[in-house]
Amino acid sequence: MKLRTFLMLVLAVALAFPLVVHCNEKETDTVGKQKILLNAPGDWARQGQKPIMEIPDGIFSVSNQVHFFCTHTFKLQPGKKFSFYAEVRSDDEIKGPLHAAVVLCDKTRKHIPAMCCVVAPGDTMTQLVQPTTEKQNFIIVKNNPKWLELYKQGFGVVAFNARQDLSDLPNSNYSTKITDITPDEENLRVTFEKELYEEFPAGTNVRLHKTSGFYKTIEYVFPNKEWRKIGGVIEAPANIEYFFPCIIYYGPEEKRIQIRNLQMIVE
Amino acid sequence: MKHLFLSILVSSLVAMGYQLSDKTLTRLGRMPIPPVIDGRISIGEWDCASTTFGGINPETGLMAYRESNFRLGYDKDFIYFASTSELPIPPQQLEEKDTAEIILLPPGANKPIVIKVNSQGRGVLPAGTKIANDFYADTLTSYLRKCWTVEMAIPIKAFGIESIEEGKPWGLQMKRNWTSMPETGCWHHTTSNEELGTFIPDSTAPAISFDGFGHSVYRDSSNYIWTHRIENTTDKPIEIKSSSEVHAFSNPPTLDMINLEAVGEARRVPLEPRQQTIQPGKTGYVELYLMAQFVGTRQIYSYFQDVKTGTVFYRRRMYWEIAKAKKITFKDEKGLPYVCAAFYPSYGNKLKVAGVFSKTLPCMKAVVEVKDEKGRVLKSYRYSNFGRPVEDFEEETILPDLPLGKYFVTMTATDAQERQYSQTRTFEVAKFPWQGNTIGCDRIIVPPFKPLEVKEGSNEVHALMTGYRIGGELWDRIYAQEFPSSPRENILAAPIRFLLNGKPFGDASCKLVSKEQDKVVYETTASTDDAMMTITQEYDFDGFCKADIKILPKRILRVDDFRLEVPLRNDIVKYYSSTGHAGARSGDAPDLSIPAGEGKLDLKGIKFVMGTPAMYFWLGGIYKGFCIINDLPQHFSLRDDAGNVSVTRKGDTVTFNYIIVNKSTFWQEPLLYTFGFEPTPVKPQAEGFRAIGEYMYDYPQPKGAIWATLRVHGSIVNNMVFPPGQLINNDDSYLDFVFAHRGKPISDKEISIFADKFMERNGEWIRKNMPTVSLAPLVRTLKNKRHIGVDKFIMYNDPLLYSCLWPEAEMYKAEWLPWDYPADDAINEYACTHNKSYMDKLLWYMRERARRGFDGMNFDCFPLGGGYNTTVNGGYRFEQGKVPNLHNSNMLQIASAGIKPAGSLFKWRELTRRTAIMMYQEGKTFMGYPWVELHTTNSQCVPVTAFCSTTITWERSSRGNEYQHRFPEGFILAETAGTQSGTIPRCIVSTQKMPNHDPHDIAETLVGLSFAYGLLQHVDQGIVPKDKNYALWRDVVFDFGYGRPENKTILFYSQEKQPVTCNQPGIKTTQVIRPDNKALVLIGNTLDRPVTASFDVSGLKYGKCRFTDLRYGIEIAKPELDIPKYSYGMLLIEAL
Repeated sequence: MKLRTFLMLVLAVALAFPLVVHCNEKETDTVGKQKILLNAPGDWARQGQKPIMEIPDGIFSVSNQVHFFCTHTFKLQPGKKFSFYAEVRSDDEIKGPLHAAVVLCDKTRKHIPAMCCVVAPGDTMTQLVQPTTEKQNFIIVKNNPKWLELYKQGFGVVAFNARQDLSDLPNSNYSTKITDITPDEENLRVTFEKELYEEFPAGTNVRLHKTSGFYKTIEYVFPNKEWRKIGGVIEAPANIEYFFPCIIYYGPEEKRIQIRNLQMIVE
Repeated sequence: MKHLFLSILVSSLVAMGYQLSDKTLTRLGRMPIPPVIDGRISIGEWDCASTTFGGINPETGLMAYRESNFRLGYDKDFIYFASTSELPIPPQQLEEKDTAEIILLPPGANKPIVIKVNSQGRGVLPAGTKIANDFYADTLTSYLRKCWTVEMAIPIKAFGIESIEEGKPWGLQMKRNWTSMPETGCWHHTTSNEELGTFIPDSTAPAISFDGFGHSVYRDSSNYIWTHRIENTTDKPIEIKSSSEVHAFSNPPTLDMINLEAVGEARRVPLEPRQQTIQPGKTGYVELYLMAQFVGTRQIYSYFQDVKTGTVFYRRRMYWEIAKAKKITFKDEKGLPYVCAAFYPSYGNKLKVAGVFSKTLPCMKAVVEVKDEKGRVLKSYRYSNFGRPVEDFEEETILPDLPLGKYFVTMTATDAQERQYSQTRTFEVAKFPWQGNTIGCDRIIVPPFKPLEVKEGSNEVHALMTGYRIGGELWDRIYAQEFPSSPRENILAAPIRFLLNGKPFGDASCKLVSKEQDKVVYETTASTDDAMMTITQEYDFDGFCKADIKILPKRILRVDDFRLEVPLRNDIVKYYSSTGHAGARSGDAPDLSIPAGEGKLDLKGIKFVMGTPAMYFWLGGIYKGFCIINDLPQHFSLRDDAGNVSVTRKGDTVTFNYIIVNKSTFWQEPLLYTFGFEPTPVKPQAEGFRAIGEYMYDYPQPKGAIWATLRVHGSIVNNMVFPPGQLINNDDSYLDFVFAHRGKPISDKEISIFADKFMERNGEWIRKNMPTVSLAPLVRTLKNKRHIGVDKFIMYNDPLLYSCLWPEAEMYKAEWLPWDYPADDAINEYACTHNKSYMDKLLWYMRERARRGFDGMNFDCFPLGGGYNTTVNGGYRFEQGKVPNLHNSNMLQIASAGIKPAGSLFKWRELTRRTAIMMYQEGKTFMGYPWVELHTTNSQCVPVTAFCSTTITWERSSRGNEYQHRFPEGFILAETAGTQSGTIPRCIVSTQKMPNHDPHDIAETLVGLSFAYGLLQHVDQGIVPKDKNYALWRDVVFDFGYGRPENKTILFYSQEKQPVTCNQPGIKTTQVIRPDNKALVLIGNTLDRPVTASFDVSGLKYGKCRFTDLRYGIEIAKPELDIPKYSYGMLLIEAL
C-alpha cells in the first residue's frame, strides 16, 4: 500500500469515526447488567404518530413541542433497577427544558397520570379532621407546614386514603386542583376547584401529589450546542407494571433538538 | 274508467291549497268490531282496518330507517288510528318530540285536522279523543327491539260532521316523527305539506293491508316475503284483482353478487295471485317470496281493484334500500352514558360490566347495581372522580352459582345538574336439555383413519397417509403418500425450524409424554443464547399436530425477526393456498400455481391482510404438501406493509416462512403461541360420493345417480325467529313424510295433498300462535318436489347463526357473540362465534336430527367466526379502547377499539371433528365415511376438511366468463379438487345473466371444465334453464355409472393410469370403466380453440370396439371427435 493511499485511509477512518462511534454503541449483556440500545428505526415516535422509520445519521432531530415516545413498553421486574439515558443538544441556546422521563402504565398498559403517582417531596402526609360529604368542595386537615409551600409549586392535588409506605400508589383517589389553603387554628382549610363527590371519614390519610402531567421526569436540562447526557434511574411505585421512556420538550419551533444514544440499563 | 273518475274527482278537490293525491289510496269498509283503545294491538283486533308497513321519508323518498306501521279504521262513531314503531336504540329513549301523527281532511273541509301525540299522550287532540300508549315487542313491526304503540279513537264529531258519508274522499296522511337523528316516515309520499293521500269510506270495499316484508329478517338476509292481506268485511263475495309487484331480482343466480352487473337488471316481479274471489268474512293473501335482494333500490307497488267495476281499493308505492340503511350508524347526539354487561356462564359465571361516557354529557357520578328478579343486589359499583367527569370503566367479577332466573345490570349516572340517566342490561340463568353434553368428544377414531403409529426409537408419529419425524424443536422429516398404496416419502428439503433473529435454536431434546391410539403427545425443548423454547406437540388421529410453543426469553430481548421456516422439496411444490384469495369474489378465481424462478416468489393469488398473521397457509402439490393454521394475534409484531407469509425458492428447495416478528419488539415475559400443522393428503378421496346427484332448479336428479339433497332440518319454521327444532303445532309429520318416501318419488298431486292437509291442520294455529311464520314459503317448502323421493339427506347448518329471539340468547349471548359485550338485539346469520356451549347445542340438535333420518351434516359460512371476544375465542386487547354500544344495526360495522380479532379455525376443526365422531357413533356412514360437508367458500382448509367427505365450493366468479377463465387449473388443483383433504367437491355453478355471453355457451364451458377435472357434483345457483345439452350429459354420465363403486372412475390425477389416451395435450378426460367392457370417456377441451381429439383406446384391451359420440347419439367409425373451444364430448367405447 502506498503511503498516500494509507494516509487517505487513515483520514477517512478518522473522519468517519465520530459518527460511527456515537451511533453504534454496543448493546451489552454482562452479568447483572444489561444495556439496551433504543436507537433503531421504529423505536421512537411522536405521540400518536407512526414510528420514525429512518434515522440515517443515527440522530433523532425534533423541534417545537414534542412528546417523543419510545414505541416499546417495558415491564418492571421485581428486584431490577431500570435506568434511562440519552444524549441531547440543540442548535442554539434554548430556554425550554427538555425532560428525560417515563410514562407509567397499569397492567392493561393504560397510561397513569402524574396525579396518581408523583408525590410531593418530603413528607406531606396528614389526616382529615372532619368527615367530608359529596357536595363539599373543601377539606379540613391537620396542619402540615409543607402544604402551604408545595401546593403553589406544582403539587396541588390531594390524594386520599394515602399510606405512609406509598403502597397506595398509583392512587386514583385524587382531588381537583387546590384553589386555596387557609390556616385555621391548628388545621388547614383546603379548598378545591370542584365538589368532592366522595365521602371520607375523619382520620383519612391524605397527601399532596403533582398537579398535572402524564409523565414522570427523571432529569431535565436546558440544552445547548454541546452533547449532554441526561437520564437516571426510573423510580416507579411498587404497583406499577409497565412503563415506556420518553423525551419531553417544550421549545420554540425554530430551534431544533438532537437526540442520540438512547439507552436503557437494567441491573 | 272508475279510476279516471276518481282522479278527476280528487284533482277537483283543491281546498284552500290542500290537494288530494290518489297515488296513495285506501278504500275500506267499517270495522265490524271497534278496537279496544289500550295501547296494545291484540291478535285480530285491527285486522279489519287497513295496515301499512313502512313510513316513507319525504326527504329521501325511501322507506325510513326506523321501522313502523300505520293502521286506519272507522265505524259510525269514530275514526281509529294506531301507529307502532320501534323504540330508539338504548340508552336513547323516546322524547317529547317523538310523535305519531294523523292528518285528516274531511270532504268539503277547508283545513285538515292534525292530531299529533307523543308517547306520554301529550299533544294536539280533539275533544273526546280516546288515546292509549304501550311499549312492548311487536315482531310484526320490528324484530329488533320493543315498540311504541299508540292507539286512538277520534270522534266523528270532532271533524264537524255527524256521520261519515259513503264514497266521499278524505285527505289522509299518517306520520311518525323521530327525534334522534331526526327523520319522518309518512304513509303518503309527498314533499308538500299541502298534499294528502286519499281515504275513501266504502262499505262495499274490503280492508286491504300491506303487512310488511315478512319475517326473514330482511335487513340481514335480504330475503323477503311481501304480504298483502285482504279482509272481506262485507256480506258479499269480492272478486279482486291485484297488479301489485316488486321491482327486484327475480332469480339472483348466486350469493356472491356484489354488483348489478353480476345479476342483470332488476325487473318487475308480480305478487300472486293476480286475481281471487274472497268470500264474506274470509281473508285473502297476495304474496311474494324472494331471496338475496342485496343490491340496489327496491320498490313495491301495491294496487288492488274490483275486477268488475275497476274501483281502486288500495294503492301505494314505496322504495327502500337496505344497503344504504345498513350503513347508517345511529349517533347519539346527546352523548348519553351507556352500560354494557356480559355474563359468561361457561367461564365461571364471569360478569363484565363497562360504563361508557361522553364529553358531550359529562357525568359526575355513576352507580352500577346487579340485581336478581326480587331486587336483591348481588354486586354494586360506584364511580366518581372528585368533580371531574367520570371516566369509562370496565369491571370484571365472578358471580357465585346463581339460581335460575333473570338478572339486571343497571347503571344510573348523574350529571352536574343532578339529572339522572339510567340504563339496564339483562341476563338470565336457565336450564336447557343440551347443556354440558359431550357429544362427539369420545375418544374414537372415525373411518377411514386408523390408529396413530409411534416409532419411539426414531421419534416418528404416523397417521393414515402422513407422518412426522421429530428432529430439532420440530421435525426433520414430514412423510406423505399420494395414495394408500404409494410409497411414503419425506417431502422436506431440510428440517422445519424456528429462526430467532436469524439464528436457529439448538440443544434440542424430546420426550414422549403419552401414546394412545387417537392421540400422541411429545414435548421438545430447544434454546438459543437468548431464549428457551418448549413445544408440546399433540398429534391427532388424522395427522394434525397442535403445537403449543412456549418461549422464555433469558433477558429483555430485542427481536427484529422471528419466523418459522418450512423448507419443502421443489419437486413436491406446485400450488399454494390460504383463506383469502386475491381479486373480487365475483371475478375470475386466481391461479394458485407457484411461480417459477429463484428468490422470493410473488404469491399473487392470495390477499394477505397487511400486518396480520394468516390464519391458514398450505404449500404443496396435487396431493402432498404441508399447512399451518393459527387463530391468535398475540405476540405477533408485523410490519403493516405486507402479510406474514413469504415463499422463496433456492435450488431444490421451496421454503415458506411464517413470519411472527418483522417489526422490532422486545420480549420480556414468557410467550405462548398455538399453531396447528398438518401434512397432506390426510386421507384418500371419498370416491363413492362421486355417484351422488342433486335435483337442480330446472333439472331433475340425474338418472342413475344417488339422489342426495341438501336441505334444512325439517322443522320448517324460521330459525332466525324460532330456535332450531321448534315445531309448528308440535306437528313433525313433514319430516315423517319426507323420510317415508326416501328413494320413492311420488306425484306432485300426492305432495300437494299432504301439504294441503298439513295447512288444514295447522294453518289457523300458525296464524294465531306463530304470526311470524310466513305462509307462502312454508307452503312452498311443503310442496317442493325436490325434497320428496330423495335417497340421501344432508342437513344444512349455519354455525354462524344467532338470534336474540332464541330462548338461550339471554343466557349465552355474551359467549356466543364475537364481542366482549353482546348486542342484545342481535339477529344475524353471520354473527356467531362458536365456543363449546354453542357447539354443544348444535351437536345435541344435529344428533336428534340424525336419529330422525338425516344422513349427513353440512356447515355453511366457513371460515367466519372468531372475533373480538377476549373471553371466548382469543380476541387480544393490545391497548385501551372505547367499548362500543353494539346493536344489531351497527355490530358488523364497528370494530372493537384496542382489540385484535382472533380467527376460528381450531373451533371449526373441533366442530367438524365432533360431528364426524357423532355421526359415526350414530351409525351414520355413507360410502364408508361419516358424511360431514363444509361449505368452504373457496378455501379448502385441510385441518377442518380433514373430517369432511364433501365440500361445497366455487361460490364465486358469478360476474360471468367462460368457466376455463373463471377457474384456472392452479385454482382447481389447489383448492377445488379435494385431493389434499380427501373430499369430493360439490361445485356451486351459475350461468345465467352473464353480460356479453350466451348462457347456453357458458353452460357448455362449465361441462367442458367439469369433464376435464372430474367435477360433476353440481349445485345449482342459476344454471340456464331448458338447456337440452346440460340435461343430457347428466343423465348419460350418471346412468352409465359414474362414481359407482362397481366401476372405475379415473381422473387424470387419479392413481390409476387412464387407459384411454389422447393425441391433444389440451384435452383432459375423466374415464368411467365398467366391468362389462364398456367405457365412457368424458372429454373436456381446456384450450381456447377447437381441436380434433383422437383417442388411443388400446389401454382398455377391448380388442375390436364400437364407438359412439353420446353427445349427438351417433356411432362413429373411429375414436375421434371434434371438440369446440372449451367444450366437451362424450365417447362411449364398447367391446365387440
